[in-house]
Amino acid sequence: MFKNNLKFALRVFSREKFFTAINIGGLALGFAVCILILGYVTFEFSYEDHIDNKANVYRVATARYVHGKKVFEGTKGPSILEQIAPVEIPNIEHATRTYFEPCLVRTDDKKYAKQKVYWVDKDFLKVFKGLLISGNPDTALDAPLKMVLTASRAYALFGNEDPIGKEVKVNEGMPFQVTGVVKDPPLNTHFKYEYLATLDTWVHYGWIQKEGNWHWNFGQNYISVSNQGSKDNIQRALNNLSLLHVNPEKSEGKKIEFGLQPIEDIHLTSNYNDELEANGNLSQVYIIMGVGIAILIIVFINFINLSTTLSLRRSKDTGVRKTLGASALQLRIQYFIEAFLLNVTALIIAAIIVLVSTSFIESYFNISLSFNVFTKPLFWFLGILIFGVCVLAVSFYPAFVLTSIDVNTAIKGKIIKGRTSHAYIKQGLLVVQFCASIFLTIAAYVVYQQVQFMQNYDLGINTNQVIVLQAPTSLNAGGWHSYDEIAIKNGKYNVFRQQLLQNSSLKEVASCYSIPGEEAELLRHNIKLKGKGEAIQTEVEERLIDENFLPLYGAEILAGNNFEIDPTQQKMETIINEKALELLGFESPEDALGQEVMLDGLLWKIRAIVADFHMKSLTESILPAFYTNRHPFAFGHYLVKLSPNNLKAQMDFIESKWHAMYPDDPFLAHFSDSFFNEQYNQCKQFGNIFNALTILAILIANLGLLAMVSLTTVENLKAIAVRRVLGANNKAVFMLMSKGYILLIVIAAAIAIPLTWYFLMNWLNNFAYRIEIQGVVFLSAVLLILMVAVCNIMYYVLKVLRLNPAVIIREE
Amino acid sequence: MILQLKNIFKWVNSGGNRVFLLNDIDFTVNEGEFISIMGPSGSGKTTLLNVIGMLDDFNEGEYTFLDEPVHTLKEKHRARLYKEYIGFVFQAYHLIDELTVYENIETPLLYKKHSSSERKAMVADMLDRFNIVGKKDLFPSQLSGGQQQLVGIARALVSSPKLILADEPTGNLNSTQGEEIMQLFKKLNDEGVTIIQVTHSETNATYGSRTIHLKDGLIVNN
Repeated sequence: MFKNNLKFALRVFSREKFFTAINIGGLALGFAVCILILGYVTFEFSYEDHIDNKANVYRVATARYVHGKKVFEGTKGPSILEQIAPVEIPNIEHATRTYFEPCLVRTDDKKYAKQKVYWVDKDFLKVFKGLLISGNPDTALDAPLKMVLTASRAYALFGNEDPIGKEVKVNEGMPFQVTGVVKDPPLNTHFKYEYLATLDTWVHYGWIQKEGNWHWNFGQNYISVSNQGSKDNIQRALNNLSLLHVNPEKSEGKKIEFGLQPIEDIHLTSNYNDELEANGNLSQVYIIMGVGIAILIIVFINFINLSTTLSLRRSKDTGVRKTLGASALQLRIQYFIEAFLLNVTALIIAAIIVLVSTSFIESYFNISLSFNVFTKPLFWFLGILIFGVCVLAVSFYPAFVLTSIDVNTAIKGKIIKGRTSHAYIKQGLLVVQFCASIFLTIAAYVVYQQVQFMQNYDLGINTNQVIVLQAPTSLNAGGWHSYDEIAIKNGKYNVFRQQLLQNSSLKEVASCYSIPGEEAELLRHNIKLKGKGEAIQTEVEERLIDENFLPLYGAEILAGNNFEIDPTQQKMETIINEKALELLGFESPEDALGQEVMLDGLLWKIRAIVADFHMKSLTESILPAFYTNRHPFAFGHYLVKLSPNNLKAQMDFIESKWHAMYPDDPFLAHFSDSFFNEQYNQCKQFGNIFNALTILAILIANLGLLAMVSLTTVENLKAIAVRRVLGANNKAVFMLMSKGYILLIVIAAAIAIPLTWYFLMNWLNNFAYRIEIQGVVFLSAVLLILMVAVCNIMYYVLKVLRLNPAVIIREE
Repeated sequence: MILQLKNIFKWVNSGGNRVFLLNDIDFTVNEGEFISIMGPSGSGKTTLLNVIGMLDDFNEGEYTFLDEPVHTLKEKHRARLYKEYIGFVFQAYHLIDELTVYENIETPLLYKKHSSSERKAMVADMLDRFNIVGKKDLFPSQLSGGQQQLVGIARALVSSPKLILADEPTGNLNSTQGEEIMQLFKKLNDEGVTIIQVTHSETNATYGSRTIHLKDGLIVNN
């Protein structure tokens, strides 16, 4: 019996090749998209999987208040927490500070710049368990000048030799001994270390006190807790601890509040300004999941509609079988078998699509996919169960329609129209589909507009044709504690600059520490105007630039003059932006000129006021900024403004001059504007995924619509023929065939537009600078969907009009 | 007696008027009879046949089939009855297009839980009997009308029903083919199968042992 069912199903498929192909194609595409989305979601939720005790590790976020006003909130926190918390709070087992610094790492024959060095405390490897490959976790980081590095950095420095006990020089030449090797950080971690160096080293050199303090946001604090410690209890204990030491009533209104972040959740839920890397976004993951589900619904609606309509075409077969004694159940089994065959085939094709496309999708959308779940039995059990239930559910309706047809009607062998209740259900499902299409179209366009808006926004500076060179590593190798040493490096740079400017294509050369798109190198929290009352507690940026930086980027100076160099002395002068002007309470730029301002204890004279410009992406507001005139130490950048034409020749010229001047240093260059736009990667990535999914969803929905129109056309062929014989013209035929669908689209638009508006308003509120939604977007999206539908219908109208109505009537 | 209809009424309501499709039908069929139902278009011939075949309901009256009161039976029970005892032959053959000759004949057996070897034997027997062994793997579209109707009859007979209901079995055939089919019916009837056929043709009616004339849902002579 089963064999007969199977054989019959295959013959039906081969008769209805077109519809079967659409059915399987739509299902396969939909399934493939869902599997890919599953991979994406799995990856996003799998962060920190490489840490053995990840459920017990927390980052301690810190918020600082002065007189009840929040002046700071971020990942960095007091430097004393590591020493005091594990002692005072029983359920905290270990704690460590981490301080990220890009460093120069050298051996005798190798030199790597901008290495990701984390300065950590001795218990780091006990907080994060399971990282160490070789070495002793108790002693690896227990003394100054000890260092643990990742397997791949060890290989880069020492090849296949055992790195343990080898010496590595950092920055100006601190001699570190390698005491351990850790796993490479996977892609799914927020904490991408390459080297772990002991913070005791800083104490050893006398740069910091052994004892931490409560008022310095030093670096990120991580703690590991025992299984008995609940998150809430520990957080409360930490806050009580802080109240004991920093009490608003005794310490000038200052107060500290801690928040525990489970490290597993950091990637998707934490979004402070000082994150170690741009994190993911939970709502983005949910939105993409939502779109995935929408696609699945569209696919299944296609399936239901197509199958139901097709089943009506098979009414004769059903009728005959009934007269031969088939029971309703037997007929339904036939139907379920066909549904399963279609779905399973589609699933197999989907699996192939996923296998073939994964690497392309990962690189195109700049995402990572993880299919770890496929190794878990629970996933298979649930997956098969859900798949089975879905298929049963979607095939139940058509199977029901198929078998409930009256035998006498069925056996006439004509294509009978669905009863009105069937027609309503079919139309209801189509409305849902149109809703989804309209929603996705509008949303995709607005997301695209917002990304474009941010990329084309006038930053206040011009980043076009600016080449960023990574300043020579010797900047870092020499030490940076005396101004003399910096002056020597500055002298060398000035020669290099003059050489470049001899080429008339190169417009300007400048140097700075951080470039647009990077965090400020210095954040100041204590700002005081000389001679004016109390200090302002807030967060401002201090950035080091030279006198050519503002002209190179075309920033507009509102009052005062740009820096002038005086080789004989370091002038304590600063240029501030409008936000800083406002913060200091000046009415006009001119008022501020010549005033002196104290930043965390250093006194600066305001030399000029520059119009606000964006150093960070438009998701963030412009911060008050103080620009000070110093040649960059450590890792700075040299900037070159090119002419628009013949970039290649200009680049070659710069490179040749570089190698002549800095023979030992690699030439690393990139464009300033593209670097700046990398900040929008997450947003662009979201936009790209969203757009791609939308196009797919509309494509699949359209496949279904095409098939539906085709089937209803065949159903209505005779009615149309009769009308034509009675004198209906082409327009009337078109109206007859399309008016039903147009009405459905209008209903769908009425439902979809408010939903879309609500969703988009919420999404846009994430941006400090955002577009306004225009009504015309809604209108054009609906028109687009309408036009696509009309095109489908048009195709069949033309087909019908080519037929001779007389012939159709005779045949009937 | 194989079946008996007593005061059967069937009607539809059309614009406030009751239109009778079957009007007080009374008749009995005995085993081994070959009955022809005749009458003009719309006289209720097919409706009567469908009522007898239990494919259609009626509004009033009593219908007894092999001593079972059909009018009181549940759908399921009724289905069992006609599955067991009745075979249908249609004017338009109604073979299933996706199935071969062999599979078409086999289909009724599939719904009756015969074992696979039983089915094979029964279908082979039919193929032999109708001389269509050579065509068993062909699809309906590859056969002539007469051949298709032959398969249709073989399919109706394969589960050895007591009663064959034939709705204008020769309506789509030319006269030679029609003649052959009628000869076949005659032969089957001689072998003991009870047959009721609806026909337009006086010639075909003469093959039967009795003719019922219908007009506007009424039996006009018996």
